[in-house]
Amino acid sequence: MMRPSQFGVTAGIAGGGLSRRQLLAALGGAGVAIGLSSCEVVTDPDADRASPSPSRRYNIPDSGAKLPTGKVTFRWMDSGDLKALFEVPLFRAYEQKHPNITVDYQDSPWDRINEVVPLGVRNGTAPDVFAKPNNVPVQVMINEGWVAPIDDIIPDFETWKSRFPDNAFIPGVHIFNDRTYTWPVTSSKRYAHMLMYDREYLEDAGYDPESEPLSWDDFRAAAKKVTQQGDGDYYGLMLNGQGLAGVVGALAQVAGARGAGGPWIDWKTGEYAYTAPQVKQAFELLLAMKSDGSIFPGFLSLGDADARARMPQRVAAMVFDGPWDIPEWPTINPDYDFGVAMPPSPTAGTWAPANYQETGSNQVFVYAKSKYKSIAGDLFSYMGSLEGQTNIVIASGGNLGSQWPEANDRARRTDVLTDRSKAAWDIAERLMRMAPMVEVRSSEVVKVILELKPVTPTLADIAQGIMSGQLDDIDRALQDLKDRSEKNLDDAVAAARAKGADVSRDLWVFPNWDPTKDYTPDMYADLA
Amino acid sequence: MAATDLARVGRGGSEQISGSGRGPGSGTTWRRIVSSRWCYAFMLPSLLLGGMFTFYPMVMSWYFSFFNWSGFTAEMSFVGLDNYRELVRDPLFWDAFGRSFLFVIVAVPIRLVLSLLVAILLNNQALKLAPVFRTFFFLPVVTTAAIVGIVMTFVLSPFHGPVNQALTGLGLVPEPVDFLGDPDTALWAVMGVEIWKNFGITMIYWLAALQTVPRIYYEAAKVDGAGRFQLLRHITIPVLLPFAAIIILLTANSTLHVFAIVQAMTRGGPYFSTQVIEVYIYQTAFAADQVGGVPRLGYASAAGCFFGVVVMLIALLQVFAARKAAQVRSQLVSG
Repeated sequence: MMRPSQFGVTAGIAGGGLSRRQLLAALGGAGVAIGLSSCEVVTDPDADRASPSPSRRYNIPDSGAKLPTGKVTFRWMDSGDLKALFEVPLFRAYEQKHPNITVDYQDSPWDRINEVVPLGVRNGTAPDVFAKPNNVPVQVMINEGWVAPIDDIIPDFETWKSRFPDNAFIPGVHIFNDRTYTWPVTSSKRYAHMLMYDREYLEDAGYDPESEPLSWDDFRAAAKKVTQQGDGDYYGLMLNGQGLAGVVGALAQVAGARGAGGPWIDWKTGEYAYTAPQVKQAFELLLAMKSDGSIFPGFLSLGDADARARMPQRVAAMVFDGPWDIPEWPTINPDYDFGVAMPPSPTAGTWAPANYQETGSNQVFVYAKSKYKSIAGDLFSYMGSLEGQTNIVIASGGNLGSQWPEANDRARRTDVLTDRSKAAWDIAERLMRMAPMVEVRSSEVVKVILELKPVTPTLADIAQGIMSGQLDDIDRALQDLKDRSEKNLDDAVAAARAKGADVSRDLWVFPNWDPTKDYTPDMYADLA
Repeated sequence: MAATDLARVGRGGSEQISGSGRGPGSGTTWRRIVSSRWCYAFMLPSLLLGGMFTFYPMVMSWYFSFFNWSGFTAEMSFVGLDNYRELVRDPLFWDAFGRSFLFVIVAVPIRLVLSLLVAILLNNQALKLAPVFRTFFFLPVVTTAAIVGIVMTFVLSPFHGPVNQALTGLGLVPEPVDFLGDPDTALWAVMGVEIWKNFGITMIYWLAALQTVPRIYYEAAKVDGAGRFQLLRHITIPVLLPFAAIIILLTANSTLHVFAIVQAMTRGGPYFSTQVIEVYIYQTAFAADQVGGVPRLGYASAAGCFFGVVVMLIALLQVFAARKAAQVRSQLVSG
């Protein structure tokens, strides 16, 4: 694993003054150093054993794109984080290959992307490639002419696209009006609520969740015992006010609530899943732990990033979080020894599957008025190749996955991935099953999405209300949320139909869905 | 803007005291404009900027409030008063509206009284360290609200936060208080931080006002045997009255604009317990991705306009009160 001290970043972070983004940027810088040094290539497709040194090279082939010959600056804006570990060295390698091209990589927080991209589009100065602002639907960007299809930009597009797994390109997600506007840079298959814990604290309390998974009762008892051990200096469980709904969804899902988490729809019935009994049980578990005094004090006013950053400071023993912590925490506290385990379930060692939708993640779009679309096509061509996909996985330390099984396998054969990253991968493999997507069934569904109004209070709000004691009738609050959500979707369907869309609520019902299995293209075909 | 308003009030006060001033018969309107052309020339940049960044957005907010619009599409559907109809039926809006006014009703009097007392103390010329204390009280004003908010989350934290350590150390509370996580204390905690942060600016207003009180009044009253309280009761407060009206207006206005500090400290939570109207508008207009659905800029504009009208009505009442107070002061000093 790339240890921060190897790249001289430890001193800078010793004071704890660096943000997650800065730390990742530092790691990205380290990646540049590796990428541009004379390290050996280890992404040999035939490699069947671990490489002796964790390093990589970016062999960017000529894709056939007609690149500009003059001196140009190509601008790329996305949210950085783990993908920056791949992109920074890629861009530096690309600049070396094309000395006339400078890639201005703007690794930005989401607030900035949400602000800069729409403004940039309006005044014609948007970056050549950008991540979608969170609050702008893709369909809006396309209808308003913000973005260009990539079919004409990526050389030999059909061949390039054909290398991706079936259903990787989804109408309503990547394809609109028969044109492809974006692509799945990485896989969505990342489990975001693993049990990440302080090994020393849990061992002292007599628990080892990696080898002996916890039941809900064990989990509660372990948190209580750790809190007693901590005597006010550390606590059993870290939560945060923004992430409560996600934790409840994850706990309910492994307890068997169909459709909990994600879009919160039980695809078997097409109805919202908020009233599943396991959701209430998950709330009751957390409330019991709160009354035990086992949850980190002040968690309701903590943000997601604050809570995450406090774990390596050893103020709590357990947290539910995703693989992005794995490369970050050692940079905050190199001595922090943490484990990565399956989440607790009502019965130790048995978990209901967690369902996810494979839309891909980290998608970017090409600005419609960009003068340098060919550079975007050239870069996409490499990023969507086997070597590119493998390098994404390796550069992120295995904390980003590819939709290409072969790229994941090749990355895993190197010794770049830590045991923790491999554990995170195994947990995702073991728990996660692909759920159906209504957008795949009908591209008309996007017209419904454009009609959806925000449903407030959300589950996130309600979770705060329950945990703060403002809402004491959990059943009523969840039933109310379900009723409002159902009506909102019904209204949106009706509004879309009134505008000519061929949609109905039946599209949300997948009678052949089996939550324990991946929903495959054949299953969509069976519906017809 | 605040300093200009104060100067205007101060000027008005002294005009009435002296009984002089530019009378209506000093020339035609055009001649007055020509003779004051440099004043207008210097005001022009401010007018232009105000027009671009205050008046234009204000007018456009009214316009958008009649449309169903996400803020991103070229297509806007005219919905007439539908946004307003939906708004008056939205309990979350009224709750946020109420919290904003609770903020004003509680925070403004506290800020006004505390800052007046400190200003009176610091206005004492015998106090040699007055400039140091003025700077000390004013420092939080010039500190970014978001930074103050974030720092205060640590200061008020129930986990080793200094406030809780002091409270538990002194035995005032048996266990740490979750100031920002408890719905019963969150709004008051944010309010306390807001008062502390902006206390200095109100104090400066009062100091400016106090410096317009002619010292001769105090000296004359002292010769007549008036004590400190009588000086305050019969001279300082009556002379400050017209200033008080405008200072209340400015303080109430700033207390209605607490978005940054609330967003940094609680984001309106837990469960809306600190969601003031600005946070409600922000979450409706720009943060829809966090709650699902498409942003509703038209609806949020309606909320902003509705709230703006209410604030304007309050401001008009205060202007009326300021005029009345100026008359009282005029009678006082001439009598």
